[in-house]
Amino acid sequence: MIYLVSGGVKSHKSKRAESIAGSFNGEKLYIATMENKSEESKKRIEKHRLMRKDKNFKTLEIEKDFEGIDLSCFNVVLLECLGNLCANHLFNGGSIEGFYKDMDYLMKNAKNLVIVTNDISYDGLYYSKEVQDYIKTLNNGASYIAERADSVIEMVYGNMIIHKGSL
Amino acid sequence: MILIIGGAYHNKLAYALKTYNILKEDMQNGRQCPVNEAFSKKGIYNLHLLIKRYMEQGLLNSENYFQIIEQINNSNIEIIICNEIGSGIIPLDKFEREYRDMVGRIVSELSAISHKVERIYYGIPTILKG
Repeated sequence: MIYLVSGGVKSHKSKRAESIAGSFNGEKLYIATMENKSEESKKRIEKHRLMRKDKNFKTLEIEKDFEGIDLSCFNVVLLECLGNLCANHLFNGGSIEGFYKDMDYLMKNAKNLVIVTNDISYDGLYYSKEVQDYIKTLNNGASYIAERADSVIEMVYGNMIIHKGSL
Repeated sequence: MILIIGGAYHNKLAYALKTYNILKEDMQNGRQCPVNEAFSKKGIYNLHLLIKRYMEQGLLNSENYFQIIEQINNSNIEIIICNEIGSGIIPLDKFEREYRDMVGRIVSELSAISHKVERIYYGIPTILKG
């Protein structure tokens, strides 16, 4: 099963994704793609760690380039999040091809997969070309996953809209 | 007339072309088409950008915006695609505020006269009307 969980900031998308992944038996892998250098990221990372501390995830902190990660021993993989993965590819020495390669790698090799992304496309402001390209690449990537996913879920402040499939 | 809305880059155009079996050439692009030919094809995408261009050229304001609805109504247009742009922070810039108000007004009117309204989320439709 492939799940895509999206939503705005503080929509409870991570919580929902963790509860979906938590419903699977067996070993669980949490792939954390946020860069972990700044103080603010460290705080966010710590918060997410606390949130899932009783859920028995093994955590892998990796910014991009997933090829070669052995996923065979995990029954479910949670990617947090597509937005960071995309940014790491566009702004931190990766490429759009690499972004798709990483998505394909997870979809092909994870037994069950939950992908968190964030929806940043409803304000109508025109940002710099760099930012526009980022929004475009991220949403194209999310649409690419949505097409292949069994379930597509939008979170709105803790409420759930199921766009495709079921829980 | 079918109205298709959704956030930026949610694959609205790809959805419309595939679902309604229409060619991209038959769709006018609001970003760059000549303003007097905006509604001459089967459909139009980036309607929000056409609205912005009209406003930048002083052709559209809160007094006369119903004319654009009439123009669309009198055309043979079958599909309209527009970004939803009303959910961000209120822009500091007055023009940007008026622009998103205008898109909201026009799309609301178009929703009322369309027989079908769809909202696209990462390429997946939700039917809001019809």
